Amino acid sequence: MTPAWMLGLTSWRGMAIPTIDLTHYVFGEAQTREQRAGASPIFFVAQHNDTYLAFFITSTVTITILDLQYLHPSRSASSGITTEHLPIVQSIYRHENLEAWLLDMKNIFTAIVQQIEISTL
Amino acid sequence: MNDLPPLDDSNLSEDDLAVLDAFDAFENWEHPAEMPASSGLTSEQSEEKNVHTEILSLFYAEIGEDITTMHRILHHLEQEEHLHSTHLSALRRPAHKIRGTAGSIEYHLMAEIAHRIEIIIERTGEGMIYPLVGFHAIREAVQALEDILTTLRATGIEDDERYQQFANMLYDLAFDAEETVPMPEVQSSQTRPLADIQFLSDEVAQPQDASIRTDQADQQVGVPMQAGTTTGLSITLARVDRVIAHTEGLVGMHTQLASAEAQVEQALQDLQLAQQRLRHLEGQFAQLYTTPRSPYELHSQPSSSLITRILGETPHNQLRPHRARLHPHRALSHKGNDEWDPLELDHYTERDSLSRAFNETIADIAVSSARLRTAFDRLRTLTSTYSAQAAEVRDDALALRTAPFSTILPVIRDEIEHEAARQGQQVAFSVEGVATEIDQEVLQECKQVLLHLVRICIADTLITNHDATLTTPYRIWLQARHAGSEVAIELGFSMQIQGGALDFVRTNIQRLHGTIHLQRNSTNGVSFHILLPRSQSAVRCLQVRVGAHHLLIPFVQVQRISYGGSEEPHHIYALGELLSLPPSSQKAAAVEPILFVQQHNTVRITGISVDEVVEEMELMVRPLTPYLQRPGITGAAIDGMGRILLVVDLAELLRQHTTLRRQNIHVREESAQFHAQQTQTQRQLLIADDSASMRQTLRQMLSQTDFVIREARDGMEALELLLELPPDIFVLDMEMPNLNGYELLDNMRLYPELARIKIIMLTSRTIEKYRQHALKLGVHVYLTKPCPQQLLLETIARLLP
Repeated sequence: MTPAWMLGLTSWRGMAIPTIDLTHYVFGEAQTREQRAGASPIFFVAQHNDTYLAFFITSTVTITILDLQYLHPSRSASSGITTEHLPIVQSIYRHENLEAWLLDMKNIFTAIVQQIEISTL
Repeated sequence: MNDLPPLDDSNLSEDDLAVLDAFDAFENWEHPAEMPASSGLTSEQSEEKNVHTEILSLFYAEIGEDITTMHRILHHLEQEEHLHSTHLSALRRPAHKIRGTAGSIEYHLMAEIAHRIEIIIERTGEGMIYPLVGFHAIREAVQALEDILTTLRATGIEDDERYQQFANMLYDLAFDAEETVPMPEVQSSQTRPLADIQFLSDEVAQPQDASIRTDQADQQVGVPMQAGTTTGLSITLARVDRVIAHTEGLVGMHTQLASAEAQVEQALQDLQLAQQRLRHLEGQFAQLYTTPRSPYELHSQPSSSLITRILGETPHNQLRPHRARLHPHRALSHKGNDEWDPLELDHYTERDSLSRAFNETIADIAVSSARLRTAFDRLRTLTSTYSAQAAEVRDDALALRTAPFSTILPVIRDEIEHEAARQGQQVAFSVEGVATEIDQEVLQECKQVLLHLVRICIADTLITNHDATLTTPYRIWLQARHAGSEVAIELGFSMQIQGGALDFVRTNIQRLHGTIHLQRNSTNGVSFHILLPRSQSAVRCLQVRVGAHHLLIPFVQVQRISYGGSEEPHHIYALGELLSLPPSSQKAAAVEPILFVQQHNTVRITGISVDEVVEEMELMVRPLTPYLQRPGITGAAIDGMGRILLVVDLAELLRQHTTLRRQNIHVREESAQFHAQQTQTQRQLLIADDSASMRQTLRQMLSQTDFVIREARDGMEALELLLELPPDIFVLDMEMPNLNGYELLDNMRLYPELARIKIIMLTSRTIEKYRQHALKLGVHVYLTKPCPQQLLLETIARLLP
């Protein structure tokens, strides 16, 4: 079976690429079909080397530019990042009331491709 | 190298030691040549002796034939102008056969010499031994085999002294098949005539003659062919002219189409004008009806004042008696008011005029509608002609990519003639369908496939099959024809061919989205049946639905579709099950379509059920990214709605399913139940081996069991017998003609219903990689020859408790 966070295949510039439920992948929480349809679904396509992946996200708050001084290493004791998430979180952004994870997309790409590869269709 | 004593146990490879171990284990088996004298034998012993005698005579005849074949091959190689390593491979099969057969009868020396020949061929192929040295060593080995066989026939004992002579000869040659020094790479492309053979002994390690080449390129029969590497197309001017002519015709039609469109437009405008007038009149009528009017007008709307006057003078009830009956109150109220009223004349004239205009407008609408219909019909006719013309241009454009089948024939013909001449045999080669047009990209790959098939199939079979009594030469034929949007090609042989070819080209055929099957033909030889799409620009597929999933199946894989007809396949598998799809709530069509799978035989037909055959479509199919690739999924296509449709390979899915069934515990239990039931009746055992004496030996070894034993002489016959009546136990050899052991196992995987058969591979190949591959293909137990009787019986008992 393909991983549960892989929603299927979609076409991107004539290629078949996997669609990944990012929330499910990062937090392990599968969304129902209704939840996915009810939100404002957005697919964003990311590329790493020759690999393309389509990520499904329910909404975006805003597009922001992060000030590097507010980025903290995810491996620090105070980050609160679990061992499970360490490989996919590059750093923590903390500023004012906002705390956000900066995802390590390179690692995420590698892990996703490996997991899809070893799964059976 | 010279210091090493030849054939010393300590220097033997792991393979050799394994063979020797097996020989040791075989010691308990009574030697046929050591049977006691017939006097004083019980009837049972006498019968046993007769069987052994029969096996021995079969053995002598068979080994004698193999040695003769090897002599013949060596003789032809001697005539060769150039000798390279691959030529020696023709000797591999008879040597392998002797090794297995002699080993099983416990003639160790002969088996050992045959094994040495195999090693020499292998090392020569690897470039570790010069072809000329290999040739000489093999010639000595074959002579030794012949001498030992002669002694054996006379005395019943192998001639150990002769064997030692052979071993010493290898020693004198400074030749050790086990540890050879790799030959330095020789740059020269020249070759050395065999007539100039000189014995190379110590010089082997230091090549003196730069004219000798090992011709590695010729060994590259296994080099994968690259897909989509068409470097250029060959296009004839006539075809280009044809495209231009049709394109010009298409352009010329633009004027006619524009004119027809204008006519439609004009008719449409006329119609719209008439409709506007009608709407205007409607308004006037409405206004008119709001003003006082004569009671008469309520009942009639004359087209002219004259008619009205005439009508007005006619008693009203006489004109509309039925209306009077329907509206008696109106008739009463009109009484006394029927006289002509000159004061209403203007009013009446206006009404009359309106009425006339109304009629004229309706007539205009009718005329405009008719004109529109005519213009539209003309436009439709022209559009249809235009579409046909456009299709011709498309066909012409596709035809630019095609070339006739005849373009690849010279190289195939050359290969056959060369190989036949090399083996000193005559082969009649015939071709049908030379004008069949095929996409040049497909054609190029097809050429490689056919060349490989010819090379592998007749590499040494012409000479090994040599039959002096044959009055007509062997036949090889090629037939090509169009079958819908596919091209069907048959490569036929009138003789037995060497196994292993099918496995070799399967990947290339799959890459072209085609199929290949081996089938026995009317000449008792075999034919390869290849089905390829005519073009690679788009693949013609069936879109099918399984639950909520839509999938594509290339047309070439489907023989036909059945909607509950009278002819039912022997076995039906659900596509959803083959793909391990979860059950879906979406219902299947009222009649579930069954796709008949293209298979190489007509004895047993496999059907694949789907929920619905949606449509037939032609799409560009692209391979999936490597990490998305799965067995049985060959690529993906995107339809007009942007949906991804996966392309399935039904044959591969069936193979996967068979493998899963073999691993599935439930199937194992099912199988155990089946075999338990079989014990109530008679259990079946099938032996597949090309050696008659080996088959006879096995039959003898199994004589104390209660199996009904059947025999197959080659892989093709074995498959036919397997499908005719699946046995409980199947014992097969690896090296067999037509279909070798691996190909046979692979073909068995196309029939999941054969998954319950317990398979024992009995072969002389001891190397681990062969064992692993066999196990991967579904073999339950891998035994090496010679196999002690006890071991074989215990293995069977373990498989069928």
